[in-house]
Amino acid sequence: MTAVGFGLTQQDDAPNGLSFAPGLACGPVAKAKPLDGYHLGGDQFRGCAFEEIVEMDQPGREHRLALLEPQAGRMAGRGKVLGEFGSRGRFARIMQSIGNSADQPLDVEEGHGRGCGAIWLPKLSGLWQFEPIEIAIPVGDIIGRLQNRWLARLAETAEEWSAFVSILSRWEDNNLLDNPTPELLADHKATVERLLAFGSSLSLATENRRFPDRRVAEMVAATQVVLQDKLRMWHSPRMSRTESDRLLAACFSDTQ
Amino acid sequence: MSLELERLLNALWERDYCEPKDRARWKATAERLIADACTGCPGLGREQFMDALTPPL
Repeated sequence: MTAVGFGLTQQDDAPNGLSFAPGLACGPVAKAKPLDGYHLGGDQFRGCAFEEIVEMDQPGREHRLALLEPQAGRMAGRGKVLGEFGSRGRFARIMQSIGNSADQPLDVEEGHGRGCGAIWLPKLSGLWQFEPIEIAIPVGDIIGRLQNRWLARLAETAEEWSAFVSILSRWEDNNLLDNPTPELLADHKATVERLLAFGSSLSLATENRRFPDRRVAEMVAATQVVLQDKLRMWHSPRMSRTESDRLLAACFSDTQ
Repeated sequence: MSLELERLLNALWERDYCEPKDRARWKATAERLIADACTGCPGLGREQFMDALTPPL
């Protein structure tokens, strides 16, 4: 049987008969690093990238496994929570089944520094074995990571899109103020409509009440208003000067 | 030109030419000034008011 658990496997050709899974070192004297998301014997541990794990051989049948984790997160294994990290990146506690033994909590010693802890592992039948246990929904922090990545890209895209409005405004000054050709006006209209359509796609996300970045949401909404005004200003029938003057005089009592 | 009208035109210019990070703020300023201006003309909507601001060809 291949033993898995924290990436530990036993192989004849590995040092000390053990090989190291990404991010985890096991063996009498071992170090391994780093990883960003890792798979252990088909299990995926999420939300916790071990920066370095050092296993120190100890007398008897126990081994101390030091866990160093670069940031606070949550580690989930197949079927149950294996560990939780405190808000400051330290282990708060860890629950783990070992091999086929009964579920039992494993105490994690809180280490020093960020995301640092240690657990003591029994050595089972000459083989360090963490039997995978029944799985919980394999989500962990994956969604959080995807969401953060998506939000960052959306913000970047929205900003670039909004910045184009300023470029367009300068283009209007240079090309539309003085007897613009029908071709230029048509180009302008098509461009504004494309920008509006793209803005509508952005708005689908940003107008959701759960959208977390209000700054981006407000920028998108404001840019859409600017574009709508541009479409109306440049491509709708113009009001006569007489009517315009009359309305503005009524609206601004101090109009001279 | 009315001082209020001048302030509004300035806010609209800033709204259209500013950095993206400032656009919402300038848009809010412009909308407030538009609303203030429309208050003096019962029945005048935003769109009609914006049409009046647009220079005739």
